[in-house]
Amino acid sequence: MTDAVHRSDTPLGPLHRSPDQVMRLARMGSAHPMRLSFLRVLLRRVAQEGWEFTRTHWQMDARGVGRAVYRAKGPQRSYSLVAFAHDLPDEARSDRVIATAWDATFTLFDGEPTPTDLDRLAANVPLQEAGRISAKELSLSRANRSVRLFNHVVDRLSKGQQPDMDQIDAVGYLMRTTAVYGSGKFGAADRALIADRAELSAPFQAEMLSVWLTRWFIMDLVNHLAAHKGGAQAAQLDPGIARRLGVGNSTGLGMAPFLVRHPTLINNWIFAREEALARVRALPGVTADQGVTLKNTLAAAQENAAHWQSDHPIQIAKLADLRQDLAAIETHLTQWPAGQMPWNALWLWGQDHLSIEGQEALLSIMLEPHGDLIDGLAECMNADEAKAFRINGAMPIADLRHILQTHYDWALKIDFNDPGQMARFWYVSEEKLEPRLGERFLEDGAELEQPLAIAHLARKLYDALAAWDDTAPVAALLLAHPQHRLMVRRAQAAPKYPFAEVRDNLIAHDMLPIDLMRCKLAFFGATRFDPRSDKWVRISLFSGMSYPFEITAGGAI
Amino acid sequence: MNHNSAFSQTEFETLCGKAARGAGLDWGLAEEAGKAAGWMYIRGINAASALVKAISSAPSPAPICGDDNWGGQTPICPIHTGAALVDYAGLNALPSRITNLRQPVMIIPFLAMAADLMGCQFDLLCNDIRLSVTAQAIIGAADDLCALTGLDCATVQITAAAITAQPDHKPQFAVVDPSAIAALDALGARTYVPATESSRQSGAGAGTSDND
Repeated sequence: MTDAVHRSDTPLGPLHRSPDQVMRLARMGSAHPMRLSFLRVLLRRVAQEGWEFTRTHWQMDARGVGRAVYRAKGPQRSYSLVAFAHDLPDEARSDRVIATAWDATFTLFDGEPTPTDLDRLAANVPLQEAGRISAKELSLSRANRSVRLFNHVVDRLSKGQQPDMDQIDAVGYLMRTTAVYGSGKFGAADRALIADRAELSAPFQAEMLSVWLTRWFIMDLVNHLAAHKGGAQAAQLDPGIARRLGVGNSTGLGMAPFLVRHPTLINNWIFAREEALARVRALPGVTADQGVTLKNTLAAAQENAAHWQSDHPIQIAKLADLRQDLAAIETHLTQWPAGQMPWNALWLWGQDHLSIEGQEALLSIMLEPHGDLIDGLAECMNADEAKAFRINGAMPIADLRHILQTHYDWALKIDFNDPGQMARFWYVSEEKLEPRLGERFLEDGAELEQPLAIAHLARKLYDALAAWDDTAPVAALLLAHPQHRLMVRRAQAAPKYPFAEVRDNLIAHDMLPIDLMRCKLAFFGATRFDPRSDKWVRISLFSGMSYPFEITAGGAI
Repeated sequence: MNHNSAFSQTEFETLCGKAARGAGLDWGLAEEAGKAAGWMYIRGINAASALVKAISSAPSPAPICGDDNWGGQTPICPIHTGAALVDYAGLNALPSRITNLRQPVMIIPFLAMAADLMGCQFDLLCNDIRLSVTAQAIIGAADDLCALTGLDCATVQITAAAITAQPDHKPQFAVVDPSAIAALDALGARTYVPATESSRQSGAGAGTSDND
């Protein structure tokens, strides 16, 4: 065996949680947004750098059809949200990826668009997937009105009244995005072209900026429609109510495979969070400010949990756990801090006394008072995926076998002879052009399975290695058995990226795709996770946070 | 799909990788086909046509690897050969000749990866075409690159050499042939599973309202 495997490659210390604990679906499916979530990273930056936000264009008729441009001006560059508002008949409104029309469509333009740019975008952005954008654009997205809330708000405002708060809280948003595409999709700028810009180096910053500016557009749109409808008697949406409203998002299975397809990126997200937790646990004491922030954050989490609604049985149970656990934390904090390393003591108490849902909420709450200590970790959450792409053909088979035994032991323990462990397969639907989950023993198409069942791929590779001599190089294995190439690539990266793999069987009969989605959405900063089935969810972004026009230089977020 | 303006690199790589899988390449090789085509695309080479020609008929075999000569009875797959070249570069065990290589231009991005790994450049001779490949660039006459692109199958000689030049790489997206794109799309569509009544009923949004 070579040094590469014997050497302790793991970047994890005694206060880090282990991948075996962290990378389980049940825990990933209990993730909460936190300081390092991508929308928080964006809001901190624009506040610290004093970005200026201006609505530079508003051309909208009485029905709410027209276009608008919102400019975000940073120290080095400007970005502009270009919004097109449409008059969509109710029967044409669908959140599904196969929809062809939306209430509003958007792109984030790199700079300030000229009239020629706007005309080009007007001919393409409303078509979404059927149009083309260019390297001058960083995102492409669309949103539909919440039928429940949008008309209610416009009606009330048009009569000079504010909307009903129960209805505001029951929905939480006026419009929901149904897709926000970035990173080179449909001709947009490649990530590689913008990744060296400080303001876009953290993950999904262009997409988050786009959604945040969209929130402003939506508020302007309801005020505009109410003013046209109600004339002089119309009211403007109360800023306090507006603050509660986020941008909704409706997400299906398409998001789930992302976490599996980007192992180094996911490792870096999770590692940053786990490193943050380890740093906090290592602190020797609690300052007065930290104690106050901790308690305020807990109170905010309790308020959020009180308003967080779902009709899904799984989520209802989790919310009950969460509310109970937050109350338990509140009680426990009356005797805290005590002893040495009080943050570590708090964490260990949580592990012993809280549900997984409560433990993950505690993690987010514990990180909140420690911006100075952990916010810099946001810079480590992107990934140069090309680095992990090249296979090391010189690695002896013995080393590869050792990697599988040590980093994929969880996979090797799964009995794939049990039909329940092979029950599903991931595929791309011809009709929807989206990832879907099929029933292997009931439906056709398993021969077109996507390579997302990593545990099974690891098992097959491990079995294949039995016929190979320890000293043979990986290059020879892959020349003879190219079907293992994808798994070898992942396995070779595993020692360096401990959080790269979801350590569960993604084709098991009882696997819940919403667990993968919740993890990703928590990293975005999403709240109000509301599964509509085990395969699609609604969430809210930026709920309770500032609007762009409320940002002042150096202000707190 | 409407492709009337330039693909991004990401989009092109995805299209090519999916097509390679649709054509029957194993997943890992299909990923490398996508990356290789993307490397060529942003260096102005019409990788779409080359890839279509490399993969569209019956899958071609892996190379038979002798010490100094790699080849096969029938034209060998440039993706599998290229991937093996990078794998064996780590062992310092590269051939000097590759015979019967299908779409030899497709070997260039793999030589670039091998050059990066070995800290050298590769001088390539194919018929009377001479080019050098560094980790980032292709050095040589545009006519030679064009001639190489036109070859369906050839013998290629490769020699590791000290780096002679490191030209800056400025992305220059290739003009791609719409018929090649259509062919790649068609190959990619072979990875899709047709819907059935039962899959529709168990689908992500099935049975629930998404307009509320």
